[in-house]
Amino acid sequence: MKGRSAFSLLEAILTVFIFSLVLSALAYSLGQLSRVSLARQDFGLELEAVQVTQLVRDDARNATQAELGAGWIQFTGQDLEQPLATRIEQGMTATPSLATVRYEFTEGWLYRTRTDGNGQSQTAPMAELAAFEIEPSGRLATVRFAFSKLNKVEHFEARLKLP
Amino acid sequence: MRGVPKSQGSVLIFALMLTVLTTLIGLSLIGMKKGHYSASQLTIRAEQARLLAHAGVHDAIAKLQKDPFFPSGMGDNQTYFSYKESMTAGDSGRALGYYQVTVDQLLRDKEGLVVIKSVGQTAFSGETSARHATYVELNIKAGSFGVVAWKEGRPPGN
Repeated sequence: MKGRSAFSLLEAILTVFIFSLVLSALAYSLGQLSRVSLARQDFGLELEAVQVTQLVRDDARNATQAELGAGWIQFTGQDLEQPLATRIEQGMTATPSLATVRYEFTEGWLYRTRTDGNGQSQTAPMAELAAFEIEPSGRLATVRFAFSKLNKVEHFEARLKLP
Repeated sequence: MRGVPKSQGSVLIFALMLTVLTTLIGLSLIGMKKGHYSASQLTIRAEQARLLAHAGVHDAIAKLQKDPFFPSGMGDNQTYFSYKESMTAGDSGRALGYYQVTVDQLLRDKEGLVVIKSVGQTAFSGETSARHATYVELNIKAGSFGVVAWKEGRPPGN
């Protein structure tokens, strides 16, 4: 009588395939769980939107002067790279104690440029956005922006109190 | 054994090796997803800690707006003090965390400036607890009361 081998190659591949499917499903479920957890707490893309608005708001809070146009806003305030004692010595409102921060939307990216009292600038990309607009309204400004992720576009709006 | 090819059993070894390999890949994927999940939780806690720190700053500003000599009163030589308040979620009473505010009035008389530092700490829940610090310079001169400088994180120059 001819004995049968333990497993055929096809059976082995099938077993491995099923096993992989189960593991993939488990990993996918965990991924979904993290997304659902975010959505349940009203965060998601909102979280990124909060981070962008917080950055702009932080600079607005620190500003004593603001200028804005279509797609850009610029704040002038204390240069917080310098300690308070140094700024008091230089004069709190003197140019060396002040810094400007400019947000500008260019080619799908929001950039933040910081220029200190000596004219030295640093530019950094803050977020990849689908749109960014600023609309002034008295001492307030409405910032509208949109994120485009996972094949969907979400719009956000935030109000800034201008100095 | 007679009549049994030497290669018999190699399929089983191959299948076992492949199973171990896919298990390792699967486990690393699960680990990665678990990391994402923890990161998302930490991001939420970080935002909550930040808002708690801001609440502390606004609390101190409101108190100083009512009384520029808060809490010591006029004529007191103490210029540096600290207080801590906890916050709960609405009527549920669930602890959100606390903020600890320090108010430095060393420059109050000379420059009309008060320095406020607030640290927000979310309610401790194991690995996902977070802290955030906010630094504010406040002008308390009559007629020009308001925030002069606002910085997240460490004080300026540090």
